[in-house]
Amino acid sequence: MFGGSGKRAFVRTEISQTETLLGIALLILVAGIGMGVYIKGQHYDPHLFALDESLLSAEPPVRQSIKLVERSAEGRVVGEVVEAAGLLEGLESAGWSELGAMESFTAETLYEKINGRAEQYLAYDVVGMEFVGLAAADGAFIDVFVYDMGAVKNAFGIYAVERPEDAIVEELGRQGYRVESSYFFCKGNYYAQIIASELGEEVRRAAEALARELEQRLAGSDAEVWGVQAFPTEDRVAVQYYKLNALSLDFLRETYTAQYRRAGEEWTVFVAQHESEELAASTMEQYLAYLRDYGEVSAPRQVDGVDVFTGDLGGFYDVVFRKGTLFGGVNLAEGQALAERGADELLGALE
Amino acid sequence: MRITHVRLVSQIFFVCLFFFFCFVTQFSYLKGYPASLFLEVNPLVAIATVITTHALYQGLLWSLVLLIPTLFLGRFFCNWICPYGIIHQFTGWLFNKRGITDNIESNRYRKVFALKYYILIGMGVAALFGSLQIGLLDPICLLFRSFTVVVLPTLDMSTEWFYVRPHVHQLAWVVGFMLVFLVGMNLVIPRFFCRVLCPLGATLGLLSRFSLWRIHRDTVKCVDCDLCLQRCEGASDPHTNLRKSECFVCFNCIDDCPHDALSFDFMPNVKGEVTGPQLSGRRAVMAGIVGALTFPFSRRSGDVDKIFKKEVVRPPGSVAEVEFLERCIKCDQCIRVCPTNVLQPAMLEAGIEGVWTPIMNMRTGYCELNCTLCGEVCPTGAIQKISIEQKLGIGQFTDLGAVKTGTAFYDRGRCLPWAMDLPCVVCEEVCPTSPKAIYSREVEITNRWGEKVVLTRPYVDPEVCIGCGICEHECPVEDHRAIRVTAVGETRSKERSLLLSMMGETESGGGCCGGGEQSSGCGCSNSSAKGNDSLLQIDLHQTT
Amino acid sequence: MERREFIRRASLTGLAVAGSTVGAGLLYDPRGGGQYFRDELIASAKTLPSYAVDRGANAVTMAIAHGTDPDEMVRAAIGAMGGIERFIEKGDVVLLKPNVAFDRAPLLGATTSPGVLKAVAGLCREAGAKKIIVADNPINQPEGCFFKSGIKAAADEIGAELMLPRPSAFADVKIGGDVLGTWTTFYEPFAAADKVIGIAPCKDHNLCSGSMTMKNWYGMLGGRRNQFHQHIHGIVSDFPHMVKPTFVLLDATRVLMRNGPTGGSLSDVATGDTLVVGTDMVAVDTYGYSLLGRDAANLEYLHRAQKRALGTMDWKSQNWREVQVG
Repeated sequence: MFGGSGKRAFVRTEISQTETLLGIALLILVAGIGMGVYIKGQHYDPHLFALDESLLSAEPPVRQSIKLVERSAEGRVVGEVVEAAGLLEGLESAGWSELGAMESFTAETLYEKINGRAEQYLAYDVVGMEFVGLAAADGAFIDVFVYDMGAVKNAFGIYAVERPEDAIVEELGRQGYRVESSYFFCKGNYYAQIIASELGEEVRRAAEALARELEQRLAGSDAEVWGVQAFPTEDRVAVQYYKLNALSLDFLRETYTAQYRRAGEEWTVFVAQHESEELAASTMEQYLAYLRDYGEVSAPRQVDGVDVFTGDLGGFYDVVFRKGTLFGGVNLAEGQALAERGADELLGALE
Repeated sequence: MRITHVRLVSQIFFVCLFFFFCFVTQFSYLKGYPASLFLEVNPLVAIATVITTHALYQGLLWSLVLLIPTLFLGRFFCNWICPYGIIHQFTGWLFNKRGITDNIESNRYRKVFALKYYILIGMGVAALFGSLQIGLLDPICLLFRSFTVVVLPTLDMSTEWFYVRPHVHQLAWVVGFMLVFLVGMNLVIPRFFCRVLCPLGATLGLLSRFSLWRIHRDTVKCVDCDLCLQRCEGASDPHTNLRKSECFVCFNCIDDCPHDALSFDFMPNVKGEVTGPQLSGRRAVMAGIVGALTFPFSRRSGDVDKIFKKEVVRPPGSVAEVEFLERCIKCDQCIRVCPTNVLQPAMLEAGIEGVWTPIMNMRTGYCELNCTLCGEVCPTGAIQKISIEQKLGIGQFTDLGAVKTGTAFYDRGRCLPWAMDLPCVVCEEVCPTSPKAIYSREVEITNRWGEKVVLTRPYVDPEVCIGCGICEHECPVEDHRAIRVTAVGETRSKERSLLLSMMGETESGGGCCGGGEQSSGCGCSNSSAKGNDSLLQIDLHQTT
Repeated sequence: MERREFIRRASLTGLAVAGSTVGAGLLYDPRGGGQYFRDELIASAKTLPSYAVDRGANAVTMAIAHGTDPDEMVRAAIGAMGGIERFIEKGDVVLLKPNVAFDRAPLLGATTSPGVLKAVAGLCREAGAKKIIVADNPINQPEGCFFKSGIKAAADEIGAELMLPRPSAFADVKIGGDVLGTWTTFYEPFAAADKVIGIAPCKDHNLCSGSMTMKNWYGMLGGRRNQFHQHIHGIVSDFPHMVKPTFVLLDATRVLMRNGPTGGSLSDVATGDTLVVGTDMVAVDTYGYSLLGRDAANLEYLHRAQKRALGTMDWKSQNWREVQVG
């Protein structure tokens, strides 16, 4: 076969059986090697040829941002730190695109964006604000404001203050509501406003989608607003929180108020938390002084070991008491019995 | 079913398998095929890398599959499996038209056939010192290299079967003519390479001394007609005392003997054979001395350390240069599989030891970001098998950081926005890292015509740059690019690093990151405490 | 010498002399100056026909679809344009030109989404297209790019022919633009196709600020196209002059907001959930630019193209539709 000129002197013809059998065995071996190579070829790790997509990180590169610190309802720092910069990142709705860049503000720079309105947020100890504006192709726009109020009660407070009477309640965060196409809610330390530029179902839907998306993103603390939990819930209409000048009284700070309505009668209760019993007593003294200035104060009743004073302000009755570090009562009720019953119920609910 | 026909089938199968592996060693077809199989079963590669690295790397364990049968049967590899040997035999068959007497004379043993043993000894002694040079003449390495560098590109010119974008390899003509020369020498001496030069053949020849089977001549039946030499492939003197170290177990002699005097017997009398190769002791020693001198001669030329050339940008996943030269067998499989044609066989850039080892030339290509195929096919671990995840420095390798093969530098005298008031920044456009390693600053200038022009001028961030070279490759200043990647800053070698922040511990081995900012534990990349990865990252205990 | 011998030998010599003389005469070329090389190049260069379809003056020129399912969005958008039958005829060979420039995973938004490509191909087949071709000349390695971007798998699924940019597939094409005169182009797909559809992602671009349907055709250029960055807005505005596709599609299901055109991090990618189909590339790109959050008034190549009457930036005044799917 191979080699030579082809003209061989002799060609062997006698092949022994051993040789034949050996030959067949070797052929089978060779075929087996071929099969083995083929099979090996079909088994391989696809990540050798393309990057495993699950390894792609969605984390943005490190950027400067305001660091927001989660505080508990009492205002103390909880370990977690929430990056503001991530909050509004990529917040979009179909057909709506970012109009300009996202903006970040601190308490000091807040007025640059919202001018005079900054005052009321500062009153509630705002820490910072994130803003992004979204525009649709037809010129409508939605402004998204997220205020970091530093504490749950502050967020709740500013939310409650801004909330109008005719708000439509929505399942959004904590007591979210809607006014026409705009959405408002608070969650954890944050107060969010999604304000749409015009009416219309399409705009409203986009705003709603944004509001829900935003709600998902905001880290809500589990701690509830103290006042919402502490006040008796039956017949309760609304709860507010005031950092200053609660009930128009300049000595009443950090006060929760709530309105009640029962059988045509309405009354307002309030409770202020204090650091110590002395401070609570001091506030009560100031309140009683105010009552004596504008009306009469009766001798205190004893309810569960607590002194309860009734003040008559000429047709309107206030009832106040101090329980431990809490100072509270009923404000401007239209009947003594009504006021006293409201105060007793409140006292009974407070622990 | 005569045994020589079976051998023929085997030859066709293995040469086709070799061609198949050559073809399939590329991105689209590789899948899971063991493309390095021929190199992994190669006992010379295994033994030589064991000598240089004191370990048997991964797939080289397969070499036992060839080694052990050789110890029983002799040099059957040379005629049953070796694709290069098959090509030589085929060439000889195709071109040699000789009469019977000429054939017989051409197949007699010659003293020059001992040369391959001296070559092996020289290479073996060099390996003892840590210089791996067997790849220069090993038949599988040589053949694979020839296919990669010259044969497939030549075929592709007329067929377009092998590449989408044509590949070039520098000084391919050297490899091409070497191949043609060695194959052509079959017309002078049949199986010239196999008999005279092949170090693998020499290795197998040395191992054949232990073989238990050999061709045995029945002296009674034999009439001394010498017809068995007609087609003797190994020139192993079957007509007298068989030289076991030269016999290729081709069985042609058995077919040709008219008197049935030859057979393949189990342990025949040792008197009828020449067991080991006949070597001159003095010449063997001389070969050893030459081999030994290779090491100091080449290392003291400085190419590995002091005056290493900036063009020696090694593939990603390569080990540091000293280890690299202990491992690279110059098979050029990495060059074959590289999809972008960036890998080129070096000539003297990496020194005399680095001839035909792979270096990156960004004019022919660049290192594709999501690709680690070179390490996947490397049979000896000169390029480690790293995952794409490790190469990019993501996922579990985030602390370690990306593998950098070099750093890019701007030549501001040639860059269009820097030197010629022309806009460009293709480099920034194609930079694949995230964030980009090329950033730019806008500057307004007044050009020579008095017009105000805003130019975007690019800069390199050496901390992010991985040295992939696509910037250099795409730079429009084609002849000598305005941005060029050089070897400094590569992560595989402490000596060639650029930034202190990428270096890990300082030379004194004490504090961390120079600045002492990290107190508890070192958050730096390239800590040598990573065990297995120390080959890739900086080995802090390595001495130059 | 015999006469026959003489005749034979003299004839042979005579033939050789005659042959040399005649051959020299035929091959003689007196021209000089090198100009004729360029003339021949231009004369032998191919031209691209127009692949546009005339649907009448009142036809919808742009349709925007919003949604999350690419198949539904493509159907809705093309439906709003009048339906695929207005564009593709039975027996057509359709070239789909995606952006496969880089070896990125689809999630990274640097390449056309495989889902969108499949949806368009599906519709073309419904209209009776005989063959679908998918082609692009990537910046990174072709085989790797098609595989890693998922386009190869998509092409296999839809039974399309994937044309790779081999050297023999290129030819000089006469373009006659501001920047492009005659240039080597990935011609084979164009030659084979009856209809051409461009499918481009919506990307930030470090040099020209936005890479959308016009810039997509850059991927069909060959040769040393890295020179064009010296005149990038000029060349991008040349593309609507060079290629008259049947229609184009802006795949804004994902939008690469920054670090373009290569991207490389998921943080660079925003969900767009939008798809735009149009026959006016300038209009489509104007809309697409707003998805990047930018003002199209600042994009030079749009103005250039508009000035050259290759399209209009004022898409709102044209006949356009917007649909919300799902």
